[in-house]
Amino acid sequence: MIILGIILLLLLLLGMPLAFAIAISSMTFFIINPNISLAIAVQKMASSTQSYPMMAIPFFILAGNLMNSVGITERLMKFCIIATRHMTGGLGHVTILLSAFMGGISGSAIADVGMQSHLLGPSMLKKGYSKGFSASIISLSGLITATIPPSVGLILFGFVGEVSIGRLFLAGIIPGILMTIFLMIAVWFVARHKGYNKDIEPKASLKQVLFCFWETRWAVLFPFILILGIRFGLFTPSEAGAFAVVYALFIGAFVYKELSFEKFKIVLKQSIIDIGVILYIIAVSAIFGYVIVYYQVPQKLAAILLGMTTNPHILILVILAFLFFIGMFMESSVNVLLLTPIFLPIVKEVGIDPVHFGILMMTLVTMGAMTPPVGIAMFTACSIIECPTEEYIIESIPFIIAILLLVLLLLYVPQLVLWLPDMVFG
Amino acid sequence: MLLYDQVHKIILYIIMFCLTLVIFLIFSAALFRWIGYPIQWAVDISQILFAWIIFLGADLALQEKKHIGIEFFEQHLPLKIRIYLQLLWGILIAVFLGICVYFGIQLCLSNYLRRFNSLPISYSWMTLSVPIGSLLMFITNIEQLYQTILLLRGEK
Repeated sequence: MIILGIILLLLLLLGMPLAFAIAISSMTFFIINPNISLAIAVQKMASSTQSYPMMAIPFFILAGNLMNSVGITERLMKFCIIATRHMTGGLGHVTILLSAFMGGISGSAIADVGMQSHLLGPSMLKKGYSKGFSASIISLSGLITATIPPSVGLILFGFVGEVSIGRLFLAGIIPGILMTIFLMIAVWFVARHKGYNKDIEPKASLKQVLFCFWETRWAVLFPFILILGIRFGLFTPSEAGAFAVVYALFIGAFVYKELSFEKFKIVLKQSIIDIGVILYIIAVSAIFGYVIVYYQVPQKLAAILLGMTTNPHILILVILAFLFFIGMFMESSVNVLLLTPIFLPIVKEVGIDPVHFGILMMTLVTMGAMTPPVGIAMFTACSIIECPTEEYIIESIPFIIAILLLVLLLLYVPQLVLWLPDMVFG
Repeated sequence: MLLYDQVHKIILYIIMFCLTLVIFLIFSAALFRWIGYPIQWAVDISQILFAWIIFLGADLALQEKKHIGIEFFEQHLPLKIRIYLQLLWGILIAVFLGICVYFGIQLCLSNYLRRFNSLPISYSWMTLSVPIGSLLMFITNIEQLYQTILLLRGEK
């Protein structure tokens, strides 16, 4: 098992695409154990696609891409600018707020970061913000997307850990809002310290703010429809995904009238590629998962961990620290797929609510995309804004601290996570 | 290669159609359940199509070189070594995909008799997506491997 891990890391670091690195390192297991047929590997890949809840993922990917292309994003951005233009570090707040709203329609942090780097990066630099500041806040605010429903990561967690996706969705709302507030406070501090308050504009009138907000109603409304629909059993999470696509098509074609058939085809193609990338990784991870189960890694690791301490507070801190660390090296969806079956039974054992753990876990493993050495969101933002990685690393520190503080708060005040799902689902 | 490009275009349209169909099926399955007529076969067909979307889509992503990986460390290596690494990875990937094709076909043949719960068709219609998708990726990969070799020759 350790050999397998080393091979995986080596292949990854030397530039082999993630999906194939996972697949090929898993193959060494079949070389070591020649009596196990390779047909099992193929079967695991095929059967991993036959999960009904997993179908929600491609739907939400397509719905997010559709909504981006029909002009919802521009309307949201206009509102965010109007609402925060009088604050110190205004555009920093815009990217945070925009991520929070975008989180309600798209489920992927990376897509959010890429889009905002294009949309907001140039104007931030024009305002005299440093490259490191701009890139790091655009990238880290993407993390809000990972907790606000619909979140692809939470669907995946629910699917692997057999946790109610409806509950997870609801549980992510308050942490998402808190993260928005925490990051805005951090931006305010940093911007004041750096003197980004020279040319702030006068506060917009309430009427103006409300008018812009009204323009965004179709986007803001969406996560609420979604959650209510799931709550009252109108649809399962997968059906909610299909509904999201239809909703986006309807808004794009009939309300905003910005969707043409040609545009639809372009978005469809782009989404199919996104789906091909993400779900192929999930499919090959099933082979890796088989190996993990074969070697009883979860049980062994649990025995080691529980042998060290049975104090739930220390145990969860150790696990979260580990997730934060491993998140820095591995892609978040792979971490969810491979680590949820390992850690979820352990935390359940010591009495931690799976929904609570899911939110903490998702936040930490997704943050790996925003930190060196391998953060995809970090590289996306840095390459679009042309920011040197070193500058990014230094200037992202205050925002990372803000998020870690939030994680600690959520850890010790579980009601912040569990209150909403408990109230709605009982 | 012209024929191959045509094949790819057709495959792209097939996946586009499948994805649209799946959305339609799942959406209408929800509608029909509301009025009291659950249609289980719509879900089953969607799951078959879903497998095809994934494995054919993975080939599309491979063609466009969109499969994510970590380029951070690799970028700092000398160009020559990077090309050799690419060659080595290409060969390993080809071996893996070859395994998927061979054992995938074997799997399809061996569980040909297994059926879906609500559909009168063989389970192999779903499983077949793995060897076919892998075969397409195998071809794409060989094509890219060939480009790498050309690059290597140009270097020398």
